[in-house]
Amino acid sequence: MKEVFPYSVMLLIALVFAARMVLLFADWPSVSSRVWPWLRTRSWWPVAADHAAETLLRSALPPEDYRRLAANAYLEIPSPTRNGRTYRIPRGPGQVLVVEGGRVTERLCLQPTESLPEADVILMHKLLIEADEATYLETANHFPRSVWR
Amino acid sequence: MGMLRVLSRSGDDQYTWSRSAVEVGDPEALAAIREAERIFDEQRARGATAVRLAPGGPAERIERFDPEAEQIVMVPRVVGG
Repeated sequence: MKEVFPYSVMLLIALVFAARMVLLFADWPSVSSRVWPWLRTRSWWPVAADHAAETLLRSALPPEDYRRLAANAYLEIPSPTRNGRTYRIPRGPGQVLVVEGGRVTERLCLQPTESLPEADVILMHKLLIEADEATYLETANHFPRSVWR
Repeated sequence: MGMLRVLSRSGDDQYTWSRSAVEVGDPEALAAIREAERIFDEQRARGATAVRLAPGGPAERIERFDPEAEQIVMVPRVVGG
């Protein structure tokens, strides 16, 4: 075996395999929604924008909401005006889900005109829904359940 | 302390002013608040939404700069995706 595969080649294969496993594991939503945000809040995190945005999001949310966001990979915001309606904001790419009576009734798509870090986008949805839900709904593109079911 | 935060690609840009120093007419504090108001108007002209945050209170959309606000967050213009 050693003659066919020298140690250096076997080590390289093992490292590539380990790296792929780590990346696969890190992409798992329940892991990535905990690990990456936690890393971004560390002072040594190399991307200053991500660090600032994650720190702001953590300070703007009640601790329980931030824990739920980490656990579920989405943030739930109750509608300020419609009883029984909740907006489910994903961490990362994706549309905001409108949940009524425990059922997703439509998806909303709304994006900033300038690039923002992931945590800022979550905060953006939360603030716009809470501060001016009517304008938020007017601006967003609506995809009712019948379109994507 | 009052703070204006502008969400941006760099995370957020912060502008602060001392509300107590403004009350006594401190020139530096007055300059800081004028600068914050200028940024506020500039962002509004670009279509940004201004949201006033108060501890324990709901987020509130505002149309004019509020020097008494503890924190104002400017959200850049949004469009349907």
